[in-house]
Amino acid sequence: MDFYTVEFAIFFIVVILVLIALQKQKYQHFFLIISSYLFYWFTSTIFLLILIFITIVTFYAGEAIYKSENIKRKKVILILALVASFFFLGFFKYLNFGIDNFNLILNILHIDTRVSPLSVILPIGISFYTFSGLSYVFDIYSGKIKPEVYFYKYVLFVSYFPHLLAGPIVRAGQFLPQLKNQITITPDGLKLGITLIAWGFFKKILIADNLAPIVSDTFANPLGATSFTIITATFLFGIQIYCDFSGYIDIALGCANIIGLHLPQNFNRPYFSKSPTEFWRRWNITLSSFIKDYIYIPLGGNRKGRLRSYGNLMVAMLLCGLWHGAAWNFVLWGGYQGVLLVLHKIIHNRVSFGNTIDQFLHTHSGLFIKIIITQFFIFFGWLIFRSENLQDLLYSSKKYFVIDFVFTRLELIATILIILSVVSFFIVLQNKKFSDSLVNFVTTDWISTFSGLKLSYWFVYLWVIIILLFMFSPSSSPEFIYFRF
Amino acid sequence: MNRKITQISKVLLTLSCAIILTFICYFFFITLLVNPWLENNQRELRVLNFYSQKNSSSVPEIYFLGTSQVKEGIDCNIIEDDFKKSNSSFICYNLAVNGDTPLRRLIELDSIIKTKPEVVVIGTEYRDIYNSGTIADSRLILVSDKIVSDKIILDTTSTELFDKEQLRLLHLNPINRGISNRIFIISYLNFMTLNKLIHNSVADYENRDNFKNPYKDSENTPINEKIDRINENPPIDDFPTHYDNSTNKLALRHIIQELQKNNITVIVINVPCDPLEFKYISNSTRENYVSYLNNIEVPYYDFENRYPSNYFYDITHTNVQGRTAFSHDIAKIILKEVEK
Repeated sequence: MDFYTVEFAIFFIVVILVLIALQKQKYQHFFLIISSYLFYWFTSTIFLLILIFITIVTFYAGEAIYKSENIKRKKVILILALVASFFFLGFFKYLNFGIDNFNLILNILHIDTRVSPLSVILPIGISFYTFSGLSYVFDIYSGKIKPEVYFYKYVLFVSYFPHLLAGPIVRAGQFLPQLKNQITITPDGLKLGITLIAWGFFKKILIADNLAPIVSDTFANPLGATSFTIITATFLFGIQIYCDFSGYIDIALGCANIIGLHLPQNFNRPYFSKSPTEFWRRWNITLSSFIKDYIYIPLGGNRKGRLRSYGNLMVAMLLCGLWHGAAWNFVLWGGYQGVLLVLHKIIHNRVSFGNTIDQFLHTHSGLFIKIIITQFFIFFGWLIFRSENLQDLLYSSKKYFVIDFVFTRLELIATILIILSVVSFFIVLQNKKFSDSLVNFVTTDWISTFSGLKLSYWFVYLWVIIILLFMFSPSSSPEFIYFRF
Repeated sequence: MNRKITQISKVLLTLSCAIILTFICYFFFITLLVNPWLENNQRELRVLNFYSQKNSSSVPEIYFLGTSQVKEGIDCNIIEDDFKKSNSSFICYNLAVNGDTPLRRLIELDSIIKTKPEVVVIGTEYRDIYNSGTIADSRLILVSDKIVSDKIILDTTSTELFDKEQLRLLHLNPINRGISNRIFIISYLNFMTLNKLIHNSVADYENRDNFKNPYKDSENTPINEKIDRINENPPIDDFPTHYDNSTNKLALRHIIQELQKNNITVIVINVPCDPLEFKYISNSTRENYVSYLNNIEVPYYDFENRYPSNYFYDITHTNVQGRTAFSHDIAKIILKEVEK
């Protein structure tokens, strides 16, 4: 049951109406659990059992870790919980990847035997709810939180339907305290929720779904394409994946806002980042903080020397890549992001450009240049992420970095216009008043601004978005990209 | 509490009003702008209107049907001149549309029969029939109001050849059709804006009403580029002997039989293609195709490998030289068939 289906709209309206009707907090929570399980059943049917299993395992593992006074015993329980939770994730997500690579090794060794891949379907959202459950166990193990007393509250934390399919990855410490209060639908929450949902649909359906066929066309067969085509497709894919994922998150956050059980932010204008480190603080925030807190820091973080911290970063980002999908391009993408982070750390800590350049880099124009350079490399990462095989990747990478200057007349006009716009923008940026108002514009929280509008103005916001959706949405909408992860 | 409920109601009322207003504006936009534009600018609809608005003529008429290869390969003026030179008088109409298939053409069958042409020339090739009954949704939505309002009648056999989804699209009710017409909005806006500034070589708006010589003025592609393109995208070298009852095969057979039943002379032409493409088609494919055409019992002429590569502006479409030669040759064939 996708967020953009009529079935979901009906389901959500019924959930809201029943939540309003149910006055008792406990009934509301039980009803939300039943609704969330129903929602997951409609999406993934029998895989609901995995969700239930992971919920039970992580809840009781957390309790056992808390009650145990022996550190060794705590560790054993943690490992058991990890093994039990990762069993399904490993089986459904990584088994065939392992088999493929095993067959590849057999092939290299000229051994004729082959292991047939299993026909398994990845249960939607499995890595998101597994990670949410595991964060609870980790946080109890590290003493950050105490176990939840009521099992049903924990069940609601793991299965709360707005975040169940594609995140954000919720931490127990963020969610469980909200369950102390009765659920109340407030006019402000409703307005903010609708504003977010409308904006999410705008990004997902109007932008991401309209870009999807253009991007797919190029990446299905990039060999022979010109630099212009490759760079354009890469740029468009960067926009597509952002609008697809952040659009989904906006809808999830919107639903959660209406219900009154809030979810954490997952994006904060990532394409305005001035460095790879900043990018990872702004992109898929809940995943990157999960990786930082539960992989990078336990590995030693930056406490064990420079080289070790670079190594830890690489391990964390390779795992981040592998989390995205069982394919080598995702691992390579993770590794590439690791290299970018390490290089940025080295440049930031050890390279000095001199006072004049350092001062310039802190001006608005300098920041603009930093953003452009950072995004050039971030978007190259999307090229690795999206390429379908090594041959395509090598060809596309060459075209991305070594421009072939082959243009059609229209492409040439477009390129000249883009260059002229960037140069003029850079010149105009010298004007402090303009650059200040631009920064102000970019950093404004537009969603809060729109949801705070008077009803008559808010009506115009809704009307514009709905009519654009109605007129320009493609006839079929592809699934959310992050459902695959 | 009451105040909260009032505020929530106001928020929901605002949302409902926005949705309702969207529907109203949308339907005004579609009804007042997009639908008339479609009616005036889509060649498929113009062809259907041609049949319905045509006055009966005392001079015998010839219709040319087929894909863009016929649309751009037949110059009716040349053919009519050739007829005049041979003291025959016929009026010719090039009613081909881009990307046509026999299955889609069933939509025109009743109109063709009602207008009683003397001869119908159908240009076809492997691809038309290989395509296993797929028709773009937009093409079906485009004609659905004419089907629903009985301006186009599909006979029983034709109805049976369309699948369930195609029939659903052909019989959309006005509200669903209005909603489905969303898919034409971008083309409409493009037509109104970008196409006025930049020539759109793909769209065929400019030839929508030209039923004599609706060619596209295109530059000849250099031979090297042609070779590159054909290497990148080799033509389908297959003819569906493995599914003898493919819808396109049955549709072509049905069209021919219905026209013959109504005393209309039918001639089938295997349309010309660039020798560069010809090389890619294997003998077995060709034999299967020819044996299928022979089975239909219709005069059949093969132009596939008739003209040199410089008669084509790309791999499949003739240029001025090709069109002129093809039109003269077709005129001869028609005269021969009519004399029979």
